[in-house]
Parts: sequence; structure tokens; C-alpha cells
Amino acid sequence: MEILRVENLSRVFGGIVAVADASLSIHEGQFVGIIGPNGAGKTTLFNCITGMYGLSNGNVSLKVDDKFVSIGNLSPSKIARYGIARTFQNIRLFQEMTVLDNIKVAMYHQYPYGVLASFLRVGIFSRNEAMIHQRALQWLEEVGLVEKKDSLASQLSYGDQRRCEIARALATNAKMLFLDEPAAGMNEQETKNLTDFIRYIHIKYGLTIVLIEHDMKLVMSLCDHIVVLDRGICIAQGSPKDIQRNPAVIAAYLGEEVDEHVSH
Amino acid sequence: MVQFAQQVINGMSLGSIYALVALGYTMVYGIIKLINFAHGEMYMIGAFLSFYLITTFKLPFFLALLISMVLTALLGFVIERIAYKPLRNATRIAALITAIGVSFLLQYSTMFLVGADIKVFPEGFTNRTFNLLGVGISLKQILIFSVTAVLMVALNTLVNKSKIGRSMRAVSADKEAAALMGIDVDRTIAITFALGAALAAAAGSLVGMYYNTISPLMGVTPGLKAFVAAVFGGIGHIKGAMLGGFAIGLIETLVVGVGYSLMKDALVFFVLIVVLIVKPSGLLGKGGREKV
Amino acid sequence: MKKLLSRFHWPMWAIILGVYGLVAILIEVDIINAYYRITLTQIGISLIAALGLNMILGLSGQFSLGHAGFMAIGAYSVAIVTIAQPSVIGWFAGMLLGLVLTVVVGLVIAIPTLRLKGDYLAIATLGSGEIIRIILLNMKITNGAAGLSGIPQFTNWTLLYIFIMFCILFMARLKFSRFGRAALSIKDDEIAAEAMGIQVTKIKVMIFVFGALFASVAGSLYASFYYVIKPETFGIARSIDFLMIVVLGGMGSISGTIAAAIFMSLLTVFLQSFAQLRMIIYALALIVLMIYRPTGLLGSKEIFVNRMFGKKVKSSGNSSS
Repeated sequence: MEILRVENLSRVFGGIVAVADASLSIHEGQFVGIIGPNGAGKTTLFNCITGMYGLSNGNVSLKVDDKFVSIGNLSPSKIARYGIARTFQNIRLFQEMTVLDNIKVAMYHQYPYGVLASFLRVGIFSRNEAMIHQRALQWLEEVGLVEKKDSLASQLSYGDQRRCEIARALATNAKMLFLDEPAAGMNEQETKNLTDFIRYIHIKYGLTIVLIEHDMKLVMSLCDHIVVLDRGICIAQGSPKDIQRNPAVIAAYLGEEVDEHVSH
Repeated sequence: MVQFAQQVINGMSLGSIYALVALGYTMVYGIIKLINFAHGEMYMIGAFLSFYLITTFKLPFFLALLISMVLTALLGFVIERIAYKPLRNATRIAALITAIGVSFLLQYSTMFLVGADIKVFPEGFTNRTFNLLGVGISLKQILIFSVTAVLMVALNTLVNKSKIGRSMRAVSADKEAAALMGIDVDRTIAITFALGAALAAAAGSLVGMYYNTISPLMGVTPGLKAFVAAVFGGIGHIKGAMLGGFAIGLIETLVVGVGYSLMKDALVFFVLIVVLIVKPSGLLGKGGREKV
Repeated sequence: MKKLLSRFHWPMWAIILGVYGLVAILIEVDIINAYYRITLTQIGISLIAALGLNMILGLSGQFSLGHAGFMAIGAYSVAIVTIAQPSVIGWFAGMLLGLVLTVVVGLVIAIPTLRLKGDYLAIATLGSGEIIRIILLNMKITNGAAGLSGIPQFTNWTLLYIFIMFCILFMARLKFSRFGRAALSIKDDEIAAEAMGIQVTKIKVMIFVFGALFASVAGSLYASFYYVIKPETFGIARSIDFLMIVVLGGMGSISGTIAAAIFMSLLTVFLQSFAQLRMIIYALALIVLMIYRPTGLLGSKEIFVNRMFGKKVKSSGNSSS
């Protein structure tokens, strides 16, 4: 069942076309990989879908309560509240906050109470704060960071920061998760652990996951649908097998592919 | 009509002063993204230095102006090294608070040294007024226009033609890349501060000569207005600062001319807020969004 | 009943009432004489206003240099109402009027300007504060530059203390609530906060208006203690005074603000006859502090206050950040 629809999306930066006329359709529970050479417009596409950038043209619509709602040009926070969560290429945790509070921030809307309630510390405050606390601990347990809950996010190791960021995205209760190069800067073992972890949450929570990644092995092993971008244009879509055989992809990737092998 | 033309002349001479000060704001902001709150104090110190050079050392106005510019530039250089350089990688709020600290330090140190009272700037010129089709333009105003014009042309040449100008443009475009190209980033930033300070000192000295009074707190309001001018024109743009300076000078003079002199400061800030909301990048600026 | 008692923090109330009682007795026996009472009031008023600024600066990371403007609104409201109606009811009505006006003016300023980033925001708020001051200077009802005088005195230790405690409690409880966390996340990384579904502008505006309300209360207390108010009283210099307290104590720290407000007010009294020297020391302290300890002395840490007001003792996992 279709959950997200991107129609003819374009994004232009001062004359430079970062994404041109991209169309794609994502189904519920799918694991989508977006690949392409450097500068192909992958992150721009992410940023357009998650509201960080406005669209120059086209539209994005998301299924909310069995109806498609246009989310193109909505604010990132509105889109997040519709159930799309994301991580960032360069990890954007709340560095000066504890790991636990990082997760709690993401649950802002799930257990609401008013300012007055928080001032008077009435029942609804205590109940909801207790729920937030308990749920946040559960999420940390899920990613194996419970014992680090009181350290500042900036004190975590790189791999733990990635996990924490994913936990934070999950804590928003999202139905779609957008991961921007989650394995960037990780060694082989770390990448493997992360791959297992992402597969695990995909199955356990029935999430729809969209992933940008350079590591071909990771993409091919995780994703069931792959979108290939090249110079802002969507040149191919399909199953990992189709993509590996697609001549356009091979042509676009040839130079890049060699680099990839050298760097990994 | 004649009255309007008169207001325009007056507004332009006030605007020249704002433009000179605004240039310093814009250059410093362009290069390290800092609102140098202490910039108005450079203007005040420039005026005081000229004052003492003229009264104590009996120097002629132009020589005093030059020496004052050099000394203030030196001061700007030193301040950058001591107060701002250690904060190169700090948060913007920290840098901003430091700038406020420097501003207060200079104001009150000056007050401590020379007293809080208003000083009378010596009348260096016989104030002749020329009459052009009924519009009066005084010798002092001509002086302000010519000094401003000379300085702006000099600055433009410096920034666009010289080696240090190239370094400045490179550093403001991309600090890391500039450093990799062998540009001494710290030195370039310090020189930018010095240049801005020199221009502000010139403006301060001209104001002293024009209005005949100077005081340790004289830099606060013109400093803020010059900042507004820089934002109005598009902060980071040298031409924008010139344009903005003249615009703010004109707006202010015209408002006084219409009879709302008490409201003139409020109006300038109002202009600022409107500009920030409608087009934060200013008249000549280009907008940009943070890279995610 | 037992449950109710256990929720009642005895040490907290003992300290709160103890401080109040001790000072009240000292005033009664005139050990805290008229002269020290001025200092005491000064501490209280600066504390309330600085707490407000600390909410804006320390929680949501927004810069405001127009804080004294809101203080002016509270002060003039109380002054105008109590001159016409010199009674306690008049005082509260005046304060309420000030709060309502502050909300209106605060929203008018905050909604457009809070979209601006750090230093632009500083200038915009500074401009707004100046506009408020200039308007007061030009209005008939505020009596222009001469200001208002003969304001009946209502501010006493009890009233002051009630408001101080209320403000500390309010800020502490806000800090350790979902709103506080949202604000801190905005301070930390606005883009990430937005991606987590936080309505960044809404939270910023909310915190800004709360901060402005504190300043307004401080102004109301100020007007009915000093008899005289002028637009000059609420200029940039006063906003900077509050900034100094917040920065010294630590941005985001309530206990730091309390300590810094006491210290700074005492220093002001101590250096009263050396006004310029005092400013030089302040300025140097600001610069040195920013270079060596840019988060302020305490950073955003709390000593004492979080246990007293903020957090439930039970969920001890909820650590302060």
C-alpha cells in the first residue's frame, strides 16, 4: 500500500538544479535505499521530503489516516508530527543534553500537558512525565544505551551517537524513518552491528524506512527497493537485482564504483 | 522644494557619517559574522584622539584626523587580538556578549580618564555657507562629503585591487579554504578590524568638527544607527553599507524636518525591525539557509 | 493522608519560610535598616528580572537586549494606576494591567523577531526596548522625560519575597517539564528540534513572553518602591545589568542567577561612589568570563534548586542538564 508519493519534485539552488523532476512512490513497510554518486541530490531530496527545504516544483504527499495529504512545503515540525522522523548525515543530537533527555524531547507531543499543569505539578503532569520517563528508558534499552542515559550526548562514542539519534527518531512514534548515511565513518564491524540493528527495528516496528547510503553492500542487503539518483535526476528504480543489472545505473556508477571500492 | 533639497543635503552629510561607521560593521560581520558592538566606541575614541591632537598638540585638523585614524586602527587591531581572537570558535552569543563587554569597557575607561562631561571640539574652520539656488551648503558639509568620498574610493580600491583586499574577500568566503591557500586568516581578520576602526575614527573626528561637541557616550546611538544602516543595505556588502548609511541619514533628517524629532530614534529602530522581518538580507544581500 | 504528607517537601518549606522569617525579624528589629532595605529590594527586583532573562537566554537560547522595556511597562502600569487609586487593590490591578500589556507587546515583538537568529535577534530586541522607552518619553500619560513621581509605596519584604519565590518556582518547574526540554533542545540545535516535531517558533515565543512577564513584575515592584520612575531608568544599561547577572551566574542556571543577583547588587552598593570603576570592572569581568568560561560560572547546572522546586524526588533518573 502506497504511503508516500513524490511527484515531479525539483529543487533549484540559485540556478543549480540539485533535484530535477524526481518522482517516486513508497509503500508501507518497504525498505527503500536511495543511492547515487556524490552530489547526486540524495540529501537534498531528503531535505525536501522532510521539510528542511522548500520545493521549487512538484509535490510530496503522505498518507495520513487513509487520506493523502500534501506535505510539500510544510514545516519540518509539522511533517515530523505527521509521522516522518529522520537522522542527519552529520549527527545532530542535542549535545548539551543527556541521552535520556534527548529521547524525551522527541516525545514532546505524545504525552502532553499544559504549562499550568507543569507549574502546579498536578496529576496529569506526574502521570505523563512518568510515562515519558518509562517509554524513554524502553527506547534506550532497545538501542542498548540505558546505562549511558545520564551522560551528555556529546560524551557518547560515534557509534553510540548514531544509535542514540536513531532511538530519538523512533521515539517520535514515527511510521516512516529517513536515515541519512547511518553507516558513514563506521568500520566493518560497526557497520554490521548497525545493519543488524536497522533490520531488527524495521521488522519489529513494521516501519517504512528510507535510507541514503554509499556502502553498496549495506544497501543491497537491507533494501527491497532502490532508487538511483544521478545529477539530480532519478535514473532508475526497482529491486536490488534489477538495479544491479540496469545499464543506465552501471554507466552512471562506473567511475564512482571504482572509488567506492578503493575507499572501503 | 528648496526646503526639501536643504533637508536632503543635511541628511546626506549625516548619512556620510553613518556610512563610514557602517562600513566597519559590515566588513567585520562579513568576515567573522560578529556584530562588533564596540564599533561605536571606535568612533568615539577617534573623536577624542582628534580632539587632543588638535587642542594639546596644536595640530591642524587634517593631520589630527590622519593620526587619529592610525591610532584607532591600532587600537582596533589590539582589541581584536585580545578580546575576540580567543573566541574564534566560541558560540555567537559568547562573542556578542564579549563585544558588549568591550563596548562598555571603552566607554567607561574613557569616562574614567577624561571625565564624563561633554567637551567642546575646537572650531577649526570658519563656517562659511555657500548658496546654490537657495540651498545652503556649509564648508563643513563639503568637508564631510569630500573626506567620505576619498575614504570610500580608497577602501573600494583596497578591497578590490590590493593583496590584503583579496585575502579579506577570501577569508570572508571560506576561512578554511583561505587558510589552505596560505592566507594568514588571523592577520587578515585583525586588519579588517583595524580598517573598520580607522573609518569609524574618521567619522568620529568629522562629527566632532561638525557638531563641536564630543562625549564618552557619543558612540552609542550613532553606532546602533550605523549598524541599522549596515543591515538595511545588506550586511557584509560594502556598497550596501554606503547605501544604507545615506538612507538612514536621509530618513532621520526628513523625519526631523517634518517635525517628529523626538521620534527619530524610534523610527530608525522601526526601520531596522521591518527590514529584518521583510528582507533580513538587506537591500543588496542574498538570502541563504543553513546547510543541513 | 500519609501519601499527601510525603509529597510535601518539609526541608524546602523550612528553608523558604526560614529565610523569610529571619529577614522579616531583622527588618523588624531594624538590623536591616532603611538603607539595607533598599539593597534588599534591589536584589529582589534584579533577581526577578534576571530570572526572566535567563529563561529566554538560558532555556531557549534566544538573545534579548530589550528586557528593561518590559520592566518599564510593568512599572508605568502600576505607577499610573496606583497614583489614581492608591490601594492594594489598585496595586494588583496595575500589575495585572502591566502583565496584560506585556503579553500584547511581547507577542508583537516576539512573533516577527524570533524568526531571526542570535545576533540579529539581539539587535531587534534592543531596538524594541528602545522603541518602548522612546514611546514612554513621548506620551502624555507617562509625563515624558520627567517621568512619574509620588507613586505610593506598596512593595515590602513580604510582597517581594512572595514574587521571588513564585518566579523561582515557575522557572524551575518549567525547566524540568516538557516545555523546558523543548526549549533546551532549541537552544542546542534548532534544526534537529524541528525535525523532532517541536514547534520551534511557538516555544520560543512562549518562553520569551514568560521572560517578559517576569520583567514586568519586577518593574511593578520597582515603581512602588522608589516613588519615582523615568524612561531613563529602563534604558539599555539596565538590560545589560540583567544580562551581566545571567551571564555571571550561568545561562540556564536558576541557582546561579540567584547567587549572581545577590553578588552583583552588593557589589553595586559597595562600589556606589565609583560608578565608572564599577562599570569597568563589570565589562572586564564579562570579557574574561566569556573567554575562559563562556557558559557562566555555573553553566546550566543547578545546586540546591532542582531538589527544592524542580523535580520529583522519586524519578531520580531524570537528571538535570
